[in-house]
Amino acid sequence: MSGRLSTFLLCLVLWAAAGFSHADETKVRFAALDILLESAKPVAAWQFELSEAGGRMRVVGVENGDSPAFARAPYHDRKAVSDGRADRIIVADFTLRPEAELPVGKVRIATVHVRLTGDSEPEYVLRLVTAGNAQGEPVPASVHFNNQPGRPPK
Amino acid sequence: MQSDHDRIDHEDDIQLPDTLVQAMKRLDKGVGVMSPDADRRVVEAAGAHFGKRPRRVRTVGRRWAMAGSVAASLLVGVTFWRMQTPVENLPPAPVARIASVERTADDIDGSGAVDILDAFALARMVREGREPATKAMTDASARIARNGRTAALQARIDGLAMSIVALNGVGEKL
Repeated sequence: MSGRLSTFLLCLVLWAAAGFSHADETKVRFAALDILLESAKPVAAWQFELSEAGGRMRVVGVENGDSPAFARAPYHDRKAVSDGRADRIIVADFTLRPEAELPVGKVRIATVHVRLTGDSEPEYVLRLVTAGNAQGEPVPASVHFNNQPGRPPK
Repeated sequence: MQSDHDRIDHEDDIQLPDTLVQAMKRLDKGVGVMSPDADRRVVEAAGAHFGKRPRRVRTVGRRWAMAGSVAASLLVGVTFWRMQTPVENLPPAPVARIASVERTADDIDGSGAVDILDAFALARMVREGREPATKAMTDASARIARNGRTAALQARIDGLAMSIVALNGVGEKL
């Protein structure tokens, strides 16, 4: 009787483990997050950090935004991204363009491509580290996902 | 072809020694016959003898084996669960820290924090042909600036920017 019980428990555990494994494999999806910077003053440098509260995110790529002043790909940890260990990302860039060419108002500064696992909705955490004007002085600014402050794009 | 009757007649003609014949007759008489009554009594006696013993003997070792088997099953289950749990479900790593103590050499603008504004400040200094004036500038960088080595300074700018965005806090250059 005890032998049968042990065998049954072992089979049950293995079956559950196989089920979990299969379930995880099927719950992977990708998303592109447009990061918008909003400032009433011209911005020459910015830095933000993106993470996911549940740790279900892996950054797979970062591309530049719409402003001609930030035409190149922004600084980010490319090696961590290529190694698949970027569960968060710090993105930053600056430009030496004249102040007249700097973006003002709301502008897309980057798009972060992420891989998500699991069925639950991701809880993104987006934080502006700093933003500065052409003289390198901090300016008031904020970052958003598209037009939904603090929320992922639809 | 020889018939069965002829073969039997032939066998009757075989002459065996008397001693052998007598010995075979004695053996034939010695064969015991198990009567139904004797068989029943043997069964009853066996039942009475073995019926007093427990049906299954559970030794201490067997009980420990059972407990060990269950524990091993649970251990295997937990191990599988931990292995299959995606790393994504783990709590996220601490958010980026703006180093302000150990990386003062990179605090170009003297704000007390190392961020992209420091790389920006360094880039503006290079563009304007100025030697970085902050005392936080390293000796090596200062020498490079004095020599006007723009390419090296650009690498320095990129290196600083990459160290700022590095996830492990260590500079990783392009």
